Amino acid sequence: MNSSLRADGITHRIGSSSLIEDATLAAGAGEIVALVGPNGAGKTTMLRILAGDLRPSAGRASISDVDVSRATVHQLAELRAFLGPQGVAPNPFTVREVVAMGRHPHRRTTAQDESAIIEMAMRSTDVAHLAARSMASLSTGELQRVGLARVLAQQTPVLLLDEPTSALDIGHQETVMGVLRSAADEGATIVAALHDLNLAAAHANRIVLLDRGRTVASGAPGDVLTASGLSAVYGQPMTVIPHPHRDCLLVLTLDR
Amino acid sequence: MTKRARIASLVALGSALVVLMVTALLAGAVTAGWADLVHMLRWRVGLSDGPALLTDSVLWAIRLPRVLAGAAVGAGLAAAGSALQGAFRNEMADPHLVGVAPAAGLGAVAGIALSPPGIHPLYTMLGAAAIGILAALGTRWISNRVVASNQFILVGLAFGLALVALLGAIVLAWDSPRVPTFTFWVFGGLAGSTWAALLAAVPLILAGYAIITVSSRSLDLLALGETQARHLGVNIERVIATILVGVGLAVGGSVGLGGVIGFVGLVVPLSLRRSIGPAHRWLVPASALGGAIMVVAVDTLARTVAAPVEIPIGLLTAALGAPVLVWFLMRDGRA
Repeated sequence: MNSSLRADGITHRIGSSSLIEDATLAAGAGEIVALVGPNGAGKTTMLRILAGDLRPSAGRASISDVDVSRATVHQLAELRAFLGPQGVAPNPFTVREVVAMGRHPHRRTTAQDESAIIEMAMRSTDVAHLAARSMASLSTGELQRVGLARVLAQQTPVLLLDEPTSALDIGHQETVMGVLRSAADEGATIVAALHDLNLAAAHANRIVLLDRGRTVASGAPGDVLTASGLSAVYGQPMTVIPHPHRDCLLVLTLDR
Repeated sequence: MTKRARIASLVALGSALVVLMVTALLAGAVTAGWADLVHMLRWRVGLSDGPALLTDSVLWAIRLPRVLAGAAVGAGLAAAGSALQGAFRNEMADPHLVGVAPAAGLGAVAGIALSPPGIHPLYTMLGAAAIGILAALGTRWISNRVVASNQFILVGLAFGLALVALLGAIVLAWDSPRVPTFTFWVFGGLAGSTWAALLAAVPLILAGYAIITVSSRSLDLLALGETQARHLGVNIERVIATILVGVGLAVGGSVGLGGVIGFVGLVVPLSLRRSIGPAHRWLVPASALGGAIMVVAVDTLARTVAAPVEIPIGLLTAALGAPVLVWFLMRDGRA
């Protein structure tokens, strides 16, 4: 398969603790790959290595065959966009100005294209009605959606998202996953760390289950989301049943 | 605020500055009016063949360089303040508080010490700019690499306090007619402004201003924090170093010309950010104009309200700047 994002033998240690151990990941255009696992599993570390923010102790990550640890800051900004769990930190600019900052890496396009891209990004993430508001006046969930709008405006082949739905209500969670699906359908490669296993089950093409830095399982949702595997990794009894209305699985917790 | 309203604000600030500068030219012990101003200009360009009047020389050799120096000093300090506040996302970041201005003062004194007899002002200005740049870059390096906390402002504050003490000690101990007085280095002063000093300082201030302006877009992106700005393609270390060189040049020229004047770089960008907005392509020029207005106005008060005694300008900028600062903070608190 032609993978736009590859990570081979990634290991990252700080002192004697290993945050990521020999992880391998490949994702192609049109795919949503979910990174799941308990706190401290290494999801954020993996995303930061893929983004080029963190140089791994061993291994190599590349986007469109460009080694991320050798790419320039500007090259990386054209290859991948990154959304942290807080979305965008509160700042004095307006929502529209912040979404427009996503266009920074592409300074050559015309003003008309720019404004169409910015409007589209704001509409799809349901922040268009906030366009003129100051970022300082937004709720946590709104900040997260503005963050996603900025990431979409960046129009990169790869999107790396750390907990993109953590502050969102259930309706906006579905909105955001739908937006990611459309972006994937248009050819983007998406890697998202998700805590909500049911969002991963419903929307990801593939799931990577991490535990204490190691890849425990990787593959189609049906192969990764097993009652025994999840119960062992999370230390919490769970069951996995078919979704009554959707063509996907449903993960439910059980009494301890 | 719309783009048109922002342009209108800049035009209003510019017009206010021009009116204020003319008013300042005509204020003082030797009374002068419009006719004297026109006479002086005709005399300068050689249209009037009579002997120079007293007002001609007072206006040309004393007041005009002083008013222009006030505008240049204020513009340099406030533009530098807007850049520091933007780069470090903190309104405490002021060239005086973070030590760039006192460092530039030390550089100016060193320049005077190295200057050939007669003291060429170029030595003062270049010394001030060089040490100002060095202090700004050094503070960044130390806060990033040595202290490793990215606390530019706190590290700058620590160095700034030490530098103020060192500067004060040196000028007190080095009792020479070559060195301007202690008051000049602690509270600033524009009384000694000359055309030669102005011509040496203004290119540095303009160069610093130009560098800061070119970095406007990067300064905007830095409002997202260094990590997110980097994700959008901003080369953080290079951009911050560029901005700090611009700040060092603007502050160096300002301090060499007007001494160490506090509060201008703090209060002007802080108040304008609340009216013209945070975008640096507007905020930096507005701050430069606002800073020029503040220093020219305060300097005119300093030399006229208690005449013939002149009040050190830094006393007045602090006395006027502090209430303005508190007023804006109170307004933020209620919003």
